Amino acid sequence: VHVSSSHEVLPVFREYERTSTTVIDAYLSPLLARYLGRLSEGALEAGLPEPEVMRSSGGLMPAEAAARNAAWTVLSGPAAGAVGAAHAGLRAGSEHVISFDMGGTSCDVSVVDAGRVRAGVTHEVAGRVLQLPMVDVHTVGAGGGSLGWADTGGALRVGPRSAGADPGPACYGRGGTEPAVTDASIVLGYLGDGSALAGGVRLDREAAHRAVSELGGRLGLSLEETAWGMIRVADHGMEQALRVVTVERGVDPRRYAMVAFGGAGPMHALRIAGELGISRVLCPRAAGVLSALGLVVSERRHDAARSVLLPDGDLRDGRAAQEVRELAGRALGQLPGARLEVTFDLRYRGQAHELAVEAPPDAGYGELRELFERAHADRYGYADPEGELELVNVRVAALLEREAPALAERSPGAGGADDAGGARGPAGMRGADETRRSVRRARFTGGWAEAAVLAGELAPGTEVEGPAVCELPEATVVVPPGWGGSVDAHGTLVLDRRGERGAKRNGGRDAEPHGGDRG
Amino acid sequence: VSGRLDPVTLQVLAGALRAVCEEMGAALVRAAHSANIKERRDASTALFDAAGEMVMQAEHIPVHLGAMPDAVAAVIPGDHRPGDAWILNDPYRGGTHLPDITIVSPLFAEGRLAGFAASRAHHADVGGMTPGSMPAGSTRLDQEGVVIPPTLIAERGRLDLDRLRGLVARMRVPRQREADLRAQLAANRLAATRIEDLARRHGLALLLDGMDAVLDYAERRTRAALEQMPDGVYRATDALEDDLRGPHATLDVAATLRIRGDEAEVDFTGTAAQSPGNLNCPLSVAKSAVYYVLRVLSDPDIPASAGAYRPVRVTAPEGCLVNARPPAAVVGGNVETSSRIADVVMAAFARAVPAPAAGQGTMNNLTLGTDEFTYYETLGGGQGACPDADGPSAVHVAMSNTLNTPVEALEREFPLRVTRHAVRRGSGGRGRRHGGDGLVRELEALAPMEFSLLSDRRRTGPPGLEGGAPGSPGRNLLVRGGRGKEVVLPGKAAGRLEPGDRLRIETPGGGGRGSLGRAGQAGEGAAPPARGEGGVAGP
Repeated sequence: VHVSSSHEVLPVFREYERTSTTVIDAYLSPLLARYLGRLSEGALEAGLPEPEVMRSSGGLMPAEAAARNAAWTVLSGPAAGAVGAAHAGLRAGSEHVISFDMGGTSCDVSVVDAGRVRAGVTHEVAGRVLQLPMVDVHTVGAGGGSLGWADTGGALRVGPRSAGADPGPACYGRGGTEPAVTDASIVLGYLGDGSALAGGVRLDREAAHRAVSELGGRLGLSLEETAWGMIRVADHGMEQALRVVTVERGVDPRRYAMVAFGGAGPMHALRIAGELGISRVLCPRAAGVLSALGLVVSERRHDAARSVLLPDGDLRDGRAAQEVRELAGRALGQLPGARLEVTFDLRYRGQAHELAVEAPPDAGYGELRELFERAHADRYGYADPEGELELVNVRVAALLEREAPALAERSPGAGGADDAGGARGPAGMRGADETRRSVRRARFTGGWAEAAVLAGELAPGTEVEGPAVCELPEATVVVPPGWGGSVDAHGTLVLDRRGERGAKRNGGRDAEPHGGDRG
Repeated sequence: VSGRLDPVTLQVLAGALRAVCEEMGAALVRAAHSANIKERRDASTALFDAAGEMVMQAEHIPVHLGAMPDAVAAVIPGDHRPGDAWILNDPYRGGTHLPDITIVSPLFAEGRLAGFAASRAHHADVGGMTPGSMPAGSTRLDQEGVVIPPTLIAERGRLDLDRLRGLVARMRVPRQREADLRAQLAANRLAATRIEDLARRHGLALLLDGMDAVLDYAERRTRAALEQMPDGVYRATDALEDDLRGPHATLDVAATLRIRGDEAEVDFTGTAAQSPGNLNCPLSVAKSAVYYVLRVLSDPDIPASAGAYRPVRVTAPEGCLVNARPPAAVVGGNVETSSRIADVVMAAFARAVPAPAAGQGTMNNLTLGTDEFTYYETLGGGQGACPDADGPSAVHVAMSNTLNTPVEALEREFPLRVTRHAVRRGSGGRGRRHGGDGLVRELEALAPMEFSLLSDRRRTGPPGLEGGAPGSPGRNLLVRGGRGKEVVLPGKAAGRLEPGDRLRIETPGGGGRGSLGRAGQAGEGAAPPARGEGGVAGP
């Protein structure tokens, strides 16, 4: 029988959060243990190493530890995606990025500062309170499969109901009749006739049009207005999610680049980025499997926390460092040689909520006080130099880098290594050979336009100017007019919003893709 | 499709306005100092158009639903400039009961009045005869605390600190009051910034059209919901326990619901006259209760907008319990009478459409304190059985929608020990669907302090529906000293606790729904468990 004990799962203050977290742990652990047991056996038989599991806080733990404390892994997937986005950002030279992961049913967003995913503690998952360190991911029910519908007040709605994989959007031709976001994308020219999605699904344009028209009939909108409306409503929901993790947390999104991934992410990212004032969007080549990449590049991690409720006097006597030493000893026992990150949950005596302050493990009273008062002033607009401090919890994360896997750089072509990352150098012929080019009409904010379509692998150095649609092997990138850029050495498509000057420079050639000499 | 905006822009603007309200609420809770706002989130925020109609409310406290518009209506006649803020709590001029203090700020964009932001929070103390300002025995409004008529507290962005400090000086723990009021002001300022942003992004004309469109849209959704309900006249009556006048005295609350096409009218004729005690309330509280019931019975995704209430008319004779005249005391009206109004209106709707049975029907308001500290909590109980599910146990029901103060936070902050916090097993009414169980909470005083209890359903349990059994009535017990004798207190009681004295509050279970038929035979109805307690927590 599996037993979860609250003093082990979450030895911190506030009984409800502790109990709820422990109950979730007890509920999930046996299920996860069975699954991971099978996986480990399979790996052993195949001669592969013991699997590791992503923690919700964005680091790896042994499968056997995850099987004992399933609560630690609830946000494993989104955490891996965020770490993957952070990694993709760093490789493209952007250490501050917003991770935008849109798949079939939902969209996860999070913020990466200086290459590190923002973390939080208190969190609800699916309406249940789970208080463990987690990446600060916000999720909305908007994805390629989200269905459009008309409510009783005559408003156009999108999601949260999704077509799922079966029957899937109407265009999958598997019997779906309600219009999904993917169907709207076909109407608007983002997904081409007969183009194949990952997994080899062939798209049925007729079925998509039928489903979208039928909804339009109920709303008194044309086919195209309905499709464009569905995209706008879906985009708006995702934009709000991004506002929650940025503006509402005091983060200015304009200072960040956006990493767009997931099958549907790059199709929506640039429009949403435009709304938020973000001027660079990165579309990694591994858009469909960026979460897996996140797993590969993650550090090992062990989290430990304890409520200490130390009053001001004890803190002046250096008791905080003593508590940290005890916790650190335990964490390092799990991960010898790891580096430590310590978070102190501090508040003024009498306050109901504490603020998390990161400080060195041996931080003294003066340093803690200064960091806390700065955080307090940031968040609440004032500090109280006379207030007594209280240390509520100490949290220690031990982090150990693993051997970084060697990721091959994309060869730009036969002899074209010297072109790598080159802004305007001609792309190697072989790279260009992989790209099929055509033109089709697509809908953008300003109206319909002739968009250049680039299909297949894009070689490093390939340039793209909106309006364009890039049908990459793992995702489709919709590039509105006013955006453009090129593929870097790692295969990431780096797109920038063109300023006034850029727009002028590109003059009337906006519809023409640059680079690649086939045109 | 009616309305001036296309169905897409409507969705986009409705989402943006909702986000502003929610962000205001988050800012208020984050910046406040008192446990009641921070831990229990006893606060609401809303946006209004320039005419004072409530466009959108962040869903926090149902009893604030119908009452926020009256607060804004009370300041509308003023002369408004950017950066102004009004404060009020007078129940007869836009308030509900005195601890709920509202701050209203006009919002400007492109130099013209674009609307109003309002934030309302239940303050831990506003002065008056007992710490916590929830006296069980008040008979006049001015005994319940400082009465604030609509007053300009900030002008053109400058806070009138003398006036603010003058107000809080007449309350207990004035420093905390000032901090909480500043948190409300900060929430309103945030709304001003966000509305300016929205006007910049979408254009002021479109934003104002959007506000109109959200109101119209919410109205259309409610009309569509009412249209589905059978026309007719439906009546229901229930009662409150008037402990002040005696152990058998009651106050009737009666409602007549008329549904005609896509409109409804709720009239409270037949309700008792206003009482010498504090169970009176202004009509805005009755409106809140009606709107709450309507929200429960219609699609929860209809925006919390005054547009949704346009098709509903709420009337009550002047001078009756639910439309009281000054200077009647009202502190219990907002919490207890509002609960009963919701029960009665729900019972009237239950004659027309499938509806839940009555929940605990009281907020079990417990206030403890001295001149040094005040602590206020409301306790959960059983929710009534729903048409398709058992009622949940030990939850805040109907007009209250707050969280608990964690035991560990409470014990650390106040001279109190929680000696029991448990589900009150077997207290829910049995039925094809069972009512939820109430809870048991026992607190031990570790220092001398005063207590005040405002609770109801202590004599008769919440009624069942369609043959379901009623829930058990609640009980209030005072245990003097260590193993002293238990004294049963009435629903409304006040007194003093010495160290070692314990208050034990057992909250009512919810009503059951549907007849069980022969005991234990019905499909979903399991055999009733033995009465008693289970799941005892605490030391």
